[in-house]
Amino acid sequence: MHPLFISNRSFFSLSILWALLCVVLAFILLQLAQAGGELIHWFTASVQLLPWYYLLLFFSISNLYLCRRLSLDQTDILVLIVAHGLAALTTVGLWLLSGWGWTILLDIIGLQNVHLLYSPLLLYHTLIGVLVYGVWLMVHYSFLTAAGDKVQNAKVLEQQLLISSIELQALRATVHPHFMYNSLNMLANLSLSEPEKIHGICVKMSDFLRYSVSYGKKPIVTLGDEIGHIKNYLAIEQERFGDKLRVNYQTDAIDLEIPTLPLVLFPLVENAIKHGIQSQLDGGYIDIALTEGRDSIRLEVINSFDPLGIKSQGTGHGLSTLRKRLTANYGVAVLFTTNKADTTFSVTIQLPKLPPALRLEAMQ
Amino acid sequence: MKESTISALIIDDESHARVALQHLLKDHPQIEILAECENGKEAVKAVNDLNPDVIFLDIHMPKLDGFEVLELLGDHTPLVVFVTAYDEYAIQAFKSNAVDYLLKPVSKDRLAASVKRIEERKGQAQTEAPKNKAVIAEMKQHQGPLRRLLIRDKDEVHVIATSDVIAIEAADDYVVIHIADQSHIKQDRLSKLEEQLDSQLFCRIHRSTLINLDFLKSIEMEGKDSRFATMKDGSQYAISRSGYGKLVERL
Repeated sequence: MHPLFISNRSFFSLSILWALLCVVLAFILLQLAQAGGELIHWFTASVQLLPWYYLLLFFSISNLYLCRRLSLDQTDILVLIVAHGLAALTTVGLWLLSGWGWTILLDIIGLQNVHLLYSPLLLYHTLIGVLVYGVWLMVHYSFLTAAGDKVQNAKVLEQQLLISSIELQALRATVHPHFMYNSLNMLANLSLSEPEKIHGICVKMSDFLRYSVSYGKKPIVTLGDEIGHIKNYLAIEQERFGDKLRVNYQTDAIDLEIPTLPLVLFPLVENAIKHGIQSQLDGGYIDIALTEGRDSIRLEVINSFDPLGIKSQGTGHGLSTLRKRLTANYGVAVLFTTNKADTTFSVTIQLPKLPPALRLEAMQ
Repeated sequence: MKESTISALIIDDESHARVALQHLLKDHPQIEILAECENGKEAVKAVNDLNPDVIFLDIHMPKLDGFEVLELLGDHTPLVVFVTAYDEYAIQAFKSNAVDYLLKPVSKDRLAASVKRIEERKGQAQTEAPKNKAVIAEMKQHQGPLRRLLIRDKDEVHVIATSDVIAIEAADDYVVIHIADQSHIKQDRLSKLEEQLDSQLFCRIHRSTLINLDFLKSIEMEGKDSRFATMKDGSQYAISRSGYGKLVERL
């Protein structure tokens, strides 16, 4: 089905436009025929030329199907020319044949001088036929190209949707239910043993949640924000683990105003707690080192673990989500490596340094 | 010690949790807390040394989890009350004949009910033997091949990576597990271990021998029908006729 026929409105308006054009063409052709000296009545010209030329519309828009088959960028140019040439000849030929039949019919009915509008003007009819065919060819190809763009736009849109769904997933994973359980337990325990500590922990927990929920939605934050967030998290875990958790920060070698995606560091630290600290009888350490190069920043989290410890469930889910999210945002510029040695596990992420223009945004 | 006193151990890796439970148990003076343990290894030792009536046992702990502690305690398991933040082990816990399954944070009412149950159970003579082993075996089947072996040597608990094991030999009711420079004895059946271990790695070369193929150095012929597997550490194990078939198939 030709797209024009899908809505009555578009077909109707095109019909009227085309009819007007037919009137103009019929008028010009009448003048040309009369130039030979013969007088032809306008009624004759109207009856003969108007329906016939109106028919040309349907003949020529039929090439849409051929256009669909032979896409511009995937078909050899020679094939295109030959195919459309042959199609044009056939279509215009058929149309001329139908005109010839119509002329004979009108002649038999008794309309005078009808043949004068056909045979002497055959060259003009042919030219107009080919021209109209060509114009429709162009219309169809530009229509198809535009539709193709739409498909491509849809793909881009889909990609963006994917990114945001990954981000959403990352955010949901952020406030890990186990962390909430553990923290609530801890608060309940402290309420019995050391109630004076509860207030401080509640403040840290609400800061932690606030960042996870609202900052996590910001497109850009600063590295300083990120470090603040994991410090909060680790302070809460410190209360839980006591001296079994030893954290070492190396953040002197980096500008804390550098912009970054939110919640980049958290999955690394959470992973270190879950699979590292929790696996060891006597606890262990987490080293967090942030350094900057000329065009890149480097985030490194190293933790100790017990290879014979109990395996935690959900291994590496947080890390794989982070990796997907970074790749979706930065593309191939991301270096994401994990390294498992005998008793240490490290994750290193290298990211392109975001342009300073983004820093202003981050400040807001 | 009064007749009605119930001796107890608290086993939890978080000090807060131990202190809090101790606090809550103050409402129940009949419970006498003998000790606190911060991991499974200490727990095994303490149960042995102190012989408590009941243990309050956390499930999620580093190195040895609550179920593994029960496995190691074997037939000498006291009454068990699981205390955990997660509810996914409740069914297994009750299958292992636990007295109760408390969720953290523990409510006072719930703990009171639990103490009542302990008193009732203690009053009964040893009703049913604990079914720990069956439950633990069932759990392990879902976890894929065994990654580590737990060995109890009196009070000492060893955790050995199965990849470090060179060979395991059967001897009566127990097995001898050979690792570099050391051997451990464990009460277990070789056929059961064979089922649980990674079949890609371990091969039963004899009715009474299971070897780790990673440590296999060579196969030597001695006479017409006797073959020996020589391992990388120099030890040798006899290969039976059917064992040789399995070995050839694997290599």
